[in-house]
Amino acid sequence: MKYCKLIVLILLFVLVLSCDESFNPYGDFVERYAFNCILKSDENLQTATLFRSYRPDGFDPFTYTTDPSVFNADIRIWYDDSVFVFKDTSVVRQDTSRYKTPFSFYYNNQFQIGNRKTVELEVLLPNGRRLRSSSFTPSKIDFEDRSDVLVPSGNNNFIQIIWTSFDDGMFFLPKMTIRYNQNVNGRIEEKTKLVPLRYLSQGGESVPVFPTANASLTVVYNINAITRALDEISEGDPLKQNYSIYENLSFSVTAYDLPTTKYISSTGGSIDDLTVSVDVADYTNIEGGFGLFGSYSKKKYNQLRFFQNYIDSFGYNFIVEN
Amino acid sequence: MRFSFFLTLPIKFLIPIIFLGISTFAQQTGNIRGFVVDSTNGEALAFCNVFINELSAGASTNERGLYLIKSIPSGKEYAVSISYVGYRTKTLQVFVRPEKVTQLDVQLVPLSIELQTIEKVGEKIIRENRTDISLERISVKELEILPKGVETDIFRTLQFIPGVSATGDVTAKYYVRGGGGDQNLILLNGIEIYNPFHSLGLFSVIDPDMINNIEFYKGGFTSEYSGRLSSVMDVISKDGNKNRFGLKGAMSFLTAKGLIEGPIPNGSFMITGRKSYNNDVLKKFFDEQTIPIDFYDLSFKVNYSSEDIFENAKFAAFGFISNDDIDYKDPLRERFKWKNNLYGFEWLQVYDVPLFSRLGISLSTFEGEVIPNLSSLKPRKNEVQDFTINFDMNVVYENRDEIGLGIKLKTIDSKFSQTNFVGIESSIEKFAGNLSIYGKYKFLRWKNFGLDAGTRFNVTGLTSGGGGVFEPRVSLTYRFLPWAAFKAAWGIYLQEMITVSDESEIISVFEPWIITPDYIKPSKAIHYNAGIDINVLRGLQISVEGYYKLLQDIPIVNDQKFTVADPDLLPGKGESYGWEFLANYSVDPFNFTASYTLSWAYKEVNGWTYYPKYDTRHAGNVILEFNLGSGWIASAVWNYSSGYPFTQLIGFYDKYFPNNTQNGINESGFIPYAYLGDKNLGRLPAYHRLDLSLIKRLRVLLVNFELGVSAINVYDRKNVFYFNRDTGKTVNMLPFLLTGTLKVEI
Repeated sequence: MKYCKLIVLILLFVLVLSCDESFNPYGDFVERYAFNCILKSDENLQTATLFRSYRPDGFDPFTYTTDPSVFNADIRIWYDDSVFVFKDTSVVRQDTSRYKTPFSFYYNNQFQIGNRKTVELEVLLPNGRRLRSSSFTPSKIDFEDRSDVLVPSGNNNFIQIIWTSFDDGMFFLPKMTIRYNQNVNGRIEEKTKLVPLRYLSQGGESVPVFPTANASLTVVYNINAITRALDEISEGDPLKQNYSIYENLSFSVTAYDLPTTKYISSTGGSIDDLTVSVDVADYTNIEGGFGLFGSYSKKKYNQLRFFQNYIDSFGYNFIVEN
Repeated sequence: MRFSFFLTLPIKFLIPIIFLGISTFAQQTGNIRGFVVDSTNGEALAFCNVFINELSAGASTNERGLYLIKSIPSGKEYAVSISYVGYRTKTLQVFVRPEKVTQLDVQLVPLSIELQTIEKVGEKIIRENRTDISLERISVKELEILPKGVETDIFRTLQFIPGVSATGDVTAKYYVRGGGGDQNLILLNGIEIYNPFHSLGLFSVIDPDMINNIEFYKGGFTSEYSGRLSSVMDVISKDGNKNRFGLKGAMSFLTAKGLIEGPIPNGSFMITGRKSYNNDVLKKFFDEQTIPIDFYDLSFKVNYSSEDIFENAKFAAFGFISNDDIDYKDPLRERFKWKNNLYGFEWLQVYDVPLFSRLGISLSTFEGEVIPNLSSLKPRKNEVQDFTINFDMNVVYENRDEIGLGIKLKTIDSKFSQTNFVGIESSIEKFAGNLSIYGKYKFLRWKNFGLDAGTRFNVTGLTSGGGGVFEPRVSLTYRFLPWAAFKAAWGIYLQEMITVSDESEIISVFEPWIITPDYIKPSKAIHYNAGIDINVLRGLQISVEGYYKLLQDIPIVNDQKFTVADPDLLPGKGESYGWEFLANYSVDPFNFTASYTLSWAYKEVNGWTYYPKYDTRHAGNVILEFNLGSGWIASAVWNYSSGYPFTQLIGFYDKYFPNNTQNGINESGFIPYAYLGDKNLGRLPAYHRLDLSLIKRLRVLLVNFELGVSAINVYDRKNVFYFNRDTGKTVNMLPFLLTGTLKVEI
């Protein structure tokens, strides 16, 4: 009997402890700022954004609908012995499902970056806080002579373009587009078609796989993907003669600097659906804040052109260029 | 016989050298030696007591059932009592001849299932000077009685031991005294298992039905063990029934399993198999997700012992295969596969003089693979091939002192390849060999003092920094009062095989093993342990143990690896210390155990110190086992730990995702993103739960049945597992769960 009493006492003890405790995963809120700017080599218009952090009432951030843009900040970038001051402006927001106000950003349209130059940033916020960063613009890239120039390339079922760079381990993003004209009711419209690396069959459907930024110094396009892209230009239209394909394909490689490379890498994706990871690396090179201050340099490869017989086989016209 | 003579010649040659200078001290004494086995099946009974009342002297059997009582005054007859938990104590009369070894093999008869009680005759005296600080011995009977979370599991039982912690109900992965999960050595018949888990870490691959005994060192382990920093689990499997053929079958909500055993000429065999057949019950563990987990494990063991070939020798061949597959049967979903294969050969030799030796040859392989199919995942693959030859021998002197010597040659071929998020392929491959030797002296001549002092020496290492390294270790016991003993241990430990496991993953599917890359030094640990064992009353044992552990060059996954040039691993440091209290009171029909641990663990990388995910300040267990009689056994386990660390959520900001930077920064590239506070500075609410179990054993005709029912988390405590910052949802651990098992034995 005394044992029964002991057991009952133990059970009562643990039942008292069994009430659920409330759990609040939030720590003390500290306002932070996120600055984003990727300087470009191929145009003068440089843009940047500046947002403050926020905390919604619950845990769904989409319930927070106050525009977090920070206005009246003094943004300065030092480049090539000059300082460039950014102005704030806004454009009409395309998606107003969350924020109703225009999309705000800062810009400067007086410079574009060159290769291997130091750029420095200082942001003076209206509340007196400062964000700082610096970077080194990417090196020039050169295309190798062994890159393919004709599409198709002999009997090969792929097109390969190879380049070199002084930078090691940086990311590059190749992009190939087919330029063509379409005759729409007698009016010529100039269009482009982005070419995927290859197509994958998923659930009975063919899905294009486009290049993503990575450290490889070469890219290989499957010739079937190029053929498929050419087919898609006039898909469903029996009048193939309304389409004229330019002899030269547009191909470019964007080279990123180190901070942008790291930033892209950190936002790359998930491990798998089963692994539960509670902390995720959040890369930033903004001292005192979040975001990215980086740059890219774009280089075009002008040697790549279609073989006329290949275009003719689709029933398209062929536009010869010098 | 000639062949036998040839093989044992080197050892016979060594013996006189080892005994040089000792024999002159020999008195007119004799020795008693033998094996203690179960009378029904011939299985060795490990750690049972063999005791001579008249002399108040005795010994306990080792993990293979062998004992030796030294320096018994000769020329007379003694009454020798042999006792073991769950067996009828046997007393035999033995005449001890001068300077001879008297062989006394004993078969103990198990108590009937209705009358099983706990007997510990002479235990107090036998334990006088045993250097066994931080060593836990676990019998299969203990495993069977405790509540089962779907399956009986040895790893989950470990979590009741003070100093051992886990991060949740979902994983059986354990952490010992502030050490990482890959710092635990798991040996099955002396062979290393690299991935000892089924079902994403839910269960151990070692089926409890195949186990004879388990030794678990949670620190301060002596020189014969190598390769890990924190703990050693040494599992010895059963030999198989030497008397008759037997068949066992068991079912749980998750698996079905079977065991066949029986005698062969001059030996025995055992074959076991276990297969998952239904994983609906696992939804409770995985937040109601359906995961198509499929696994099996198979093992066999064959023993052979014939006086015609080798006198006093025993040979065993062993094999073990475990295989896991998560296949969604959907080309758009990834597939996970991992498997362990172990094969081993063992030669145990007992010589005429008090010397034992063991030669082991083994191959252990692990393969793990993530097959992306058409999902967006990247392929990952890990292969490890571990070939080991080791030879150990033990000499016992007349004055009860012992010498242990051993040599181990290990070659490891490890391959790890993966493609990261942005398509960069990386590969770490290495083939290396480790030749190590150890020697130790066990000073046991004084009844109230025991010392085990020795060192390992790594002649060559798997890594460039692992060769020419000593690992000295000392363990001692001083019984300063008849009922109280002071115990202490100190040692240096080296680890060169590591897992590339991300600490932020609380459920991890893929944990590849690699040889430590050359850009970081092999990990090193220093253990300091001290404690007191108290046996004031019969049946009551209290132990208090303190520890301090330093970890150096522990590899930590670089969460700031963003480019190819960044290293995968960074060298970190660790420190842990704490106090462990354990009280056990056994009086028929109760067995009551209570434990409490007060501990601290820290890690440091890049100058930043944080609490590892398994750091808990207070942890405790209360276990009550009650033999109700008539084959009914009840048990209750209450488990408590103060909150585990987690990284607090601070707020959100609109993060730029550069899907297409060539269009410039625009409004569509921003997605709300949570930002966190300092790593692991927050604490989850305290964890506690109560589990109950009821077992009924009965015999119908020639068939033994065991029916078990377990109620897990009886009061449905909502223990927080983690906070999912993507969904804003708090994910809890296991809710109330009722499980059952049925065992049939013919």
